Amino acid sequence: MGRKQLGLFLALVVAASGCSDSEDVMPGIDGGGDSGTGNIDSGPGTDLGVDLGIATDGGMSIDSGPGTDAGPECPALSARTVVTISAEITESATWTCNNLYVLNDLIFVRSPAVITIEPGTIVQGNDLSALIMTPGSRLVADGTASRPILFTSSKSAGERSHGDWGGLVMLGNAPINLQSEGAPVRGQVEGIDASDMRGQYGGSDATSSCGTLRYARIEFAGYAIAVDNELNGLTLAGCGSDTIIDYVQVHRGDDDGVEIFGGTVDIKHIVITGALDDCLDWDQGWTGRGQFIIAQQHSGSETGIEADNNRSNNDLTPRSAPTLWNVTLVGTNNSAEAQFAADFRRGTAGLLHNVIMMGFPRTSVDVRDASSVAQTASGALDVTNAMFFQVGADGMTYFATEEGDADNDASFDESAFFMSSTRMNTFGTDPMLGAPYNIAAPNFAPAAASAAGSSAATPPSTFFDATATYRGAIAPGGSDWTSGWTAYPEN
Amino acid sequence: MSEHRTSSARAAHCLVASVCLFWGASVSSASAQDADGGVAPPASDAGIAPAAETAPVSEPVPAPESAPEPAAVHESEHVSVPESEPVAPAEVSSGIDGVVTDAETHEPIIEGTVTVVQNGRRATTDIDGIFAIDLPPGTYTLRSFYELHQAARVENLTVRAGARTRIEIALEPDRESTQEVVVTARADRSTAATQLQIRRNATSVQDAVSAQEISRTPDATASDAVRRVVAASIVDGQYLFVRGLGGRYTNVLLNGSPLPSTDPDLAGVQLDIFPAALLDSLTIVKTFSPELPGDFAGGLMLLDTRSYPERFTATTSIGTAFNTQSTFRSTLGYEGGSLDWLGIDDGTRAMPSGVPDVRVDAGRGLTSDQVNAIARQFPNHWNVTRSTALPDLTLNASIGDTLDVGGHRLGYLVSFGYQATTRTQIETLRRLRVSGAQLEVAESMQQEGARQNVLWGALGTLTYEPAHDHEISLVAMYSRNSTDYTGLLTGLSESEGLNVSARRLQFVERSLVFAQLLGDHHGNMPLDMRLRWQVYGSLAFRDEPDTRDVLYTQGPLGLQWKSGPGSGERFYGSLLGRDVGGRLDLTFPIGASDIRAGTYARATDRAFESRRFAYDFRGSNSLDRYLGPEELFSPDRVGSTTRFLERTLASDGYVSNQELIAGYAMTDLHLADPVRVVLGARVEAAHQSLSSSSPFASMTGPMPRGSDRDDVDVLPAANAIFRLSETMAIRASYGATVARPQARELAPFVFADFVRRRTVQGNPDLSRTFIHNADVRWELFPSENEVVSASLFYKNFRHPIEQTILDDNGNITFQNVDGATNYGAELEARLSLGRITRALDAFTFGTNFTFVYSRVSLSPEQRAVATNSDRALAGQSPWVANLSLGLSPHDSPFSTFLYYNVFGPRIQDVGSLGLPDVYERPFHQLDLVMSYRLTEHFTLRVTAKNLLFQTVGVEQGDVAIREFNPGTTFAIKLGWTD
Repeated sequence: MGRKQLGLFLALVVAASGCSDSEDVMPGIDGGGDSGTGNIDSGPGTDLGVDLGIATDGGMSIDSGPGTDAGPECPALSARTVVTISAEITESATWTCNNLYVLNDLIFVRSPAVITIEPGTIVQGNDLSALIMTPGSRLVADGTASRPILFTSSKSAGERSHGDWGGLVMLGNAPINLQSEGAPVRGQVEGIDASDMRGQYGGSDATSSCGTLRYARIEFAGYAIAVDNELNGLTLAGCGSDTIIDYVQVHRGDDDGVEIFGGTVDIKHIVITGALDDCLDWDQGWTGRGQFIIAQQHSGSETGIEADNNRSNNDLTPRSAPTLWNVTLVGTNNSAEAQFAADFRRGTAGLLHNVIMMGFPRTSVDVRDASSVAQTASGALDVTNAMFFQVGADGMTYFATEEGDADNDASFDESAFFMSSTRMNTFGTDPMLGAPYNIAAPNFAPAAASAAGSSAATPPSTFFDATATYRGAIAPGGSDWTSGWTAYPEN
Repeated sequence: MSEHRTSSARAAHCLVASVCLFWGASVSSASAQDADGGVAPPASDAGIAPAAETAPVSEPVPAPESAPEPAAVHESEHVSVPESEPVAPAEVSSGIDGVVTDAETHEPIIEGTVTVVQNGRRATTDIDGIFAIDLPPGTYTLRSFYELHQAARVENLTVRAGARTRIEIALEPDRESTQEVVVTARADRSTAATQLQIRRNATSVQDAVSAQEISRTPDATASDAVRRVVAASIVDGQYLFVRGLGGRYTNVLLNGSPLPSTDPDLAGVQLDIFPAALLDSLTIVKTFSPELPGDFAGGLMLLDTRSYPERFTATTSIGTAFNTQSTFRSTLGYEGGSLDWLGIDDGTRAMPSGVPDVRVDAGRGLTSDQVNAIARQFPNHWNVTRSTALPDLTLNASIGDTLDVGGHRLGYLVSFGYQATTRTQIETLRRLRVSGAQLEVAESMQQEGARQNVLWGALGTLTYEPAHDHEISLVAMYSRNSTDYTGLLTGLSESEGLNVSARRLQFVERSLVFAQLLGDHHGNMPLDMRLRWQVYGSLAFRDEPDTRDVLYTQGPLGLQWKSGPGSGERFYGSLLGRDVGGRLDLTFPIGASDIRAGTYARATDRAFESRRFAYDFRGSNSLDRYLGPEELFSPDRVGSTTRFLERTLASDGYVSNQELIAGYAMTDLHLADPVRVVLGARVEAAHQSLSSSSPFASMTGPMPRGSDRDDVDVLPAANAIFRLSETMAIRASYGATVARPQARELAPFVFADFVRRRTVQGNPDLSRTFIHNADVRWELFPSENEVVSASLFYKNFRHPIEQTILDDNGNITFQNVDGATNYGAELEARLSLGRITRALDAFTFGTNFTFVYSRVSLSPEQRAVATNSDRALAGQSPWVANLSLGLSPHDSPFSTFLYYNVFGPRIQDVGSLGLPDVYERPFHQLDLVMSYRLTEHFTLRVTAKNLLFQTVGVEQGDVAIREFNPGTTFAIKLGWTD
């Protein structure tokens, strides 16, 4: 009780200061007055460092700085009232930032419930918990740059790690390619009991909305039950085009950062850092769009983009064929590692334009399996206007040679294909990013003089920001849209 | 999992020989007397001639070993001791030989008792009603009795020196009754002929294998022996399929009590834990009768343990075996414990005592330092070693006797068997996919697996006869087996896109303790009733300590550790199953018919608990990933290079309970002479609950998930027998049965199948299956040892449970499909080739064939995802065939038997998303058994298994996705009997 009262007091202090952010975003605020309360929000030191890194970038420009948001103030973490969520949610609710929501299980939100999460709200996950929006339910998690919504581990800072909790799963009724004789077959999302019907997704509603996730961070999530059976930081399965996924960071997630199973969902302003497996993974016929996507790998990560159509039957339709513009993929640039930037396989198509790929010790782009190779011939699978930098063991071997066993692509020659001048790809030119390999305080913004500003194509105006006529996710010398709302805590 | 095929192909032989030895143990005294007294050519002046059809008197009794079977010539068949009996020279000792028959039917009385009033010596009649007692010259009175018959006394029998006195005793039926011959608990069911006699008199359709038959095959365990039954086949080396139905559709009763499964990962009763040596008979009942538990559809296997011997007996044997794919070849292993040879982990793999009873998770209850301290207590053995596989070893011993305790019989029999085998299996595993409407290989990996199997068990029976026709038996059994598995998997992983190298070290020990007390009372009972009762209890344990999995992928500098699920993991699992129950069965004779009623109750619980621990890479130096596992996971790297954590899932534990109360009433009506009808019904009320949760899954306790079901089913049954003649009958039957999901199938536990690289997960929403069964069978018994039969059957399943593919990664779960219908036919013949010409007397021939047409019906969603909606029920073979040929010349110490078994292609996994169904290829198994009697006490036996050098294959489309050579196994064994 005493702690709560103190928290209320602190809330006033916070309000007076004009800042209402949670500890991870602006740890300094509660770090001073609240450290004696013994709340799990302990480690300001680490977070402070991380946030200082942002602040440095933020000096350039922040699209919405602290204090610019109207609305109720958010108390410090320690002052928030813990609300434990242990049971299925069937009625709409609004989660506000004066509470700390702790997920205690796989929490299924059932149709037609709408969960509205206010800016600045923190949702923590206990071990083996996850928030699962079943088809027909909707998540409205619409944060702001200064008060993003945070989904994180319930462990205290310093003890956190990938896999501490399950992550956010959004399921919808949009088409997936588990089909037979034209009839759609629903999928069963990974990481949930095979028999639990609440894990089903997919249908015929291409606009099916899973809700809004904007200005939100998902940290230390994901959970691998077994190989090919895992929860990811953010799972979008069967989500349709009415879903809004914008300004979302997935940080240090187990298995993949963002995995998209079919659907038509569009994604924009995505930062994926330190996913254990792949940063962005798509399967089962994703046909959405994406723009401004940054993926940074850590040691042991596997692939920047792992793209599949369908594992069992490579030619099922709808075929995965997203179009992505302005993508920055950053590997570890460590020759002992085995990452590669993008792996197109199992029949996927897909178009990547205005791309930076750097620091991948193994190879940049790999196309494998005859069914995917066929997409390159038809033009449905391509990478254009891309900068390739520091690729291969020597930093200059952009495409690995595949011999014998490793030749799993019917002798498709990536080198000849992607190095063809018609694709306007450049090799060996430094895009001059601020601090791309820095784990604790990365900076993915190219210097103003960067060659990323040239040889770029112009995105079409539908959905995409047609002014992004540069390679990579951030404009050279322009404002860094990752500033202010992202964070890179180690643990 | 079909490596089990190899493991079951292991040295069957020792145990088999001990069957034979055992056989000696339970031989009837009549035969024993033969053994003692040698061949008994009857004195021609003995007076009373035996019934013509039993006719053994005119010819010398052949050596038991040479007794051909099945369908032996009569002359040899009454000698029921195939191996332990010497070929005795015809030196005649004095005594009495005779035959006991039913005065009305003139059929021989089996297991009738004959006692010598003057000295209390007794004998039991064999299958032909024949007995023999050695006696010094003198004058004697014999008393003979048999259930449901009036006892008879024969006085003033004179025995002369060097001669046999011969006599026929005809027992009058006790009342006007043509009730079936009810074989008493002590009846020796061991011979094929006895089994045929039982079958002939049974009201339900059943088939059996006798211990005598088992003893002739290379069969080591019940799972081997049951292949000899019509329509029976064994899946994965240990699970019984009858008429192509397995798992929940077959059930096993040991002396009438259900047996628990000891494996949480798989449904069904593991038959390979039952040494064949302990079995007296093995019967498959295929039609429902109300006194039987209602939860079967394919078949119900009745395992009957040995009864007590009629004289002191002791046997022992030692044997060894060589497998062409394993023995003296390179095999895999790792550092184990000192008691591995006993199937017991000595604590080497035990979870360290310092592991707390809460989730090991730094930051939630424990600090990182505490977690690191815990992690450092784990033994650090991950390396795989290579050595040369040694030959198998098998040992067996038994001792038994029947004592006279104050004039009452007290029989005991204790047997012990041990076997240790090593099998190596090298195979290529392929994963397929569809691309451009073509089926292509997506992944091809090499797997080398070595299994050290240990199996031992002891069985004891104690039977006391407080009064004639009152018998109380105690049966106790202990069985333990272990499999120590070391597996290596290498190749280009489709999923990783890299060459990988994975290993698994796994030790699984299973044990079963079973005790049963049975009573059978049918003399001097009110209303002439027969009362049978039993109570039983069993405990089944399965322990899997410290299964280790690790996976390396090809990195630029060599193989590097990939942390993640199934890599750098330790799994600990333990299961305890308890089962108690009892039944009471009453039979009331009413004229020629009888009424039966009974009740049955059973309570089962099962507790499964497991924990998963994992190492996670947290180092800053990428080069550390290239370290070997023992360096990587060494205690001093915990907390720096690695992070230790618990990965136990909420579904990693469950508790299940099942209570069943059943009652039945039925009547066995002899309507007119040739017609007999059994009508009745059984009511079963079952409650099944399962709660899945693990105390180690979460500090905060996620919600358990489970199921809780009640079913009350009325299961009607009608069986009719029309006796067309003495030797020919037609049977027709209808019965309704159920199949309840197994705890394992209900539990949402995720089981990682290392061999198939996929997971299997249960489904708490499964419901029970209701089955309508109908059968018609025509049977002809040309002689006591011969049978020809033909059957037609129909089964309709409502909501059968199938194993289905869950996702496009090939993971597996269970579902109720809409329905399925099976139509089948069975043909069987067991004949003596002596029918054709006397020259072929030494040959016996047996064959059976089952054909099943099976089709499932799927719901629209199931039809949509299935590649092929026009298919058989999964696991259903379209045909199963068995063939046996025996050569056992009279007067020869040699005998040779050849056995052949094959099943038609059956669906192992149902295909989806355009991938074809996965079929297990027919396996043509040809086995040879030769035995040679060295001396009166020693027998040498040589067996060969898989003489056609067949490989096990699993196919999808036309592509072999698994293929391995189980090798051919040659075994030799020396047996001794007193």
